[in-house]
Amino acid sequence: MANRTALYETHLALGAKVIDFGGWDMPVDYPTHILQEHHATRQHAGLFDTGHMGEVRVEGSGALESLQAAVSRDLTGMENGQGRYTLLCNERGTVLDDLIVFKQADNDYYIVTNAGTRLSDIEALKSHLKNATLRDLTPETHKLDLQGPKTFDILASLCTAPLSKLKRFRMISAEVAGVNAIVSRSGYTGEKNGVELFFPKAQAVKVWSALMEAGKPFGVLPCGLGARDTLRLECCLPLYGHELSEEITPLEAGLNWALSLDKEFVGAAALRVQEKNGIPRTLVALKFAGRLPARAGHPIYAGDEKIGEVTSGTFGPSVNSAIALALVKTGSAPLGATVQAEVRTSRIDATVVEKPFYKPAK
Amino acid sequence: MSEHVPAGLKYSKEHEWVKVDGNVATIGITDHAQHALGDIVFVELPKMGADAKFMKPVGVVESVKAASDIYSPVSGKIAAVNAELTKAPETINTDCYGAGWMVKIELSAPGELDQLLDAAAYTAFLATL
Repeated sequence: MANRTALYETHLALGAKVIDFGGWDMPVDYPTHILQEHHATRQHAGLFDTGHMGEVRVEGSGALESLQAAVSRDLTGMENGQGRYTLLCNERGTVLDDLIVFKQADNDYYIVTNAGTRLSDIEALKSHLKNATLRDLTPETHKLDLQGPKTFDILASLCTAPLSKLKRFRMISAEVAGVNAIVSRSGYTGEKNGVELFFPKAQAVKVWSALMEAGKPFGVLPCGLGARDTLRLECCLPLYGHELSEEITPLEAGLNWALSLDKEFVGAAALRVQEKNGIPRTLVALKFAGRLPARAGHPIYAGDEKIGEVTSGTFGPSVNSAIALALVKTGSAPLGATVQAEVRTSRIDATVVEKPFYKPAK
Repeated sequence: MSEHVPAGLKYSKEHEWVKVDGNVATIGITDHAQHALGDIVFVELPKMGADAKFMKPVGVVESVKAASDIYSPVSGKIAAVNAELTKAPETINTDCYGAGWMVKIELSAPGELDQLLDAAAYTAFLATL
């Protein structure tokens, strides 16, 4: 049987449509459907159950050194509470997962993983541990994401900590609705205002209900994975299994900023070679004139030549057109070029545009 | 969730509805289908005069989530397509049995209608899903 978060029954009671995602039964949308959930997040706030994601703690005098050998980004110089987006690669320099690593204190790191890759991430991290221990906190932890411009207005009535002063990618410990939580200013919607909340699993229904209640006057909606996908794709945030995989390098995915190639980590050597020789494929952003979405796997053509394929595609509600990310032969689709996506029997024109498709207002 | 199933229409197990008027059948998707698909953003309809075959794809609806085939619940010639849906595909979400109709088909095998469900049978079928 698939895994279920502590809010599974809550989602069913709200009329959610449930699908399998990374081995978890998760709501894809509620009866409000994706467009309304998407717009609620952009204009007001959206509440997402992300209890399927993994949380891991690495502690000990060798914690920093162990993690440095494992992940792509230099973790030195972080303040307590600071987080960094980083990648876990294999020797070929392709991607096992993307992670956020928070430094809680010296020798104490809190790591957030994807759902389907959590167990293999733990194996990979464990193989690097020296004078450090790893504990999987996922079974006892729940995670909720509150995202959108009204996030801090909603939290103000439930939390006395000055959360709105929190900088991006910083976390603090705070009591939210009477529950001890870690609050991180981060998320997967591209919104400037948004938090991820980590707290004991037994409190999941209590915190969810408190956020829904406090959010009501601000227009909060519960949002499923469908809206999570349209929101992240408009802001060109990569999704593991689509823009990131063991078949794609971070350089191809345009994540150079998440690589510290001047330090040693798994995959660094292969990535240095690719950086020197050039990337065979490039991830480009495609905007379509119409609303017909090209989907993952659909081929992309420049004239008669097949140059690559779509990694993620959808209708972008805030840009009001179909959008896609596609991995194409390097140099074949420069900014401003027109390419074609093959959707069933027709070829539809798309323009190569700057990333992201959408930039949220402050 | 209770889903609207108007009396007087015929239904397929693929969740299309059929309204017969003389020799012409109007086709659309049911309330259950539009709910399951979610927000519809694009509709691909056949050309006028094309042949539709019983329970073969006659068009495609794209929701934000995914593409889904529409199956023709009758055989015949496409006599009309709802061009308004090209501009406003969301009409299928708001009025699936009215302004959200998709195609009209001139029936070539009216006997096929007997293989479709009436409202009561379709309601019972939905309860098994």
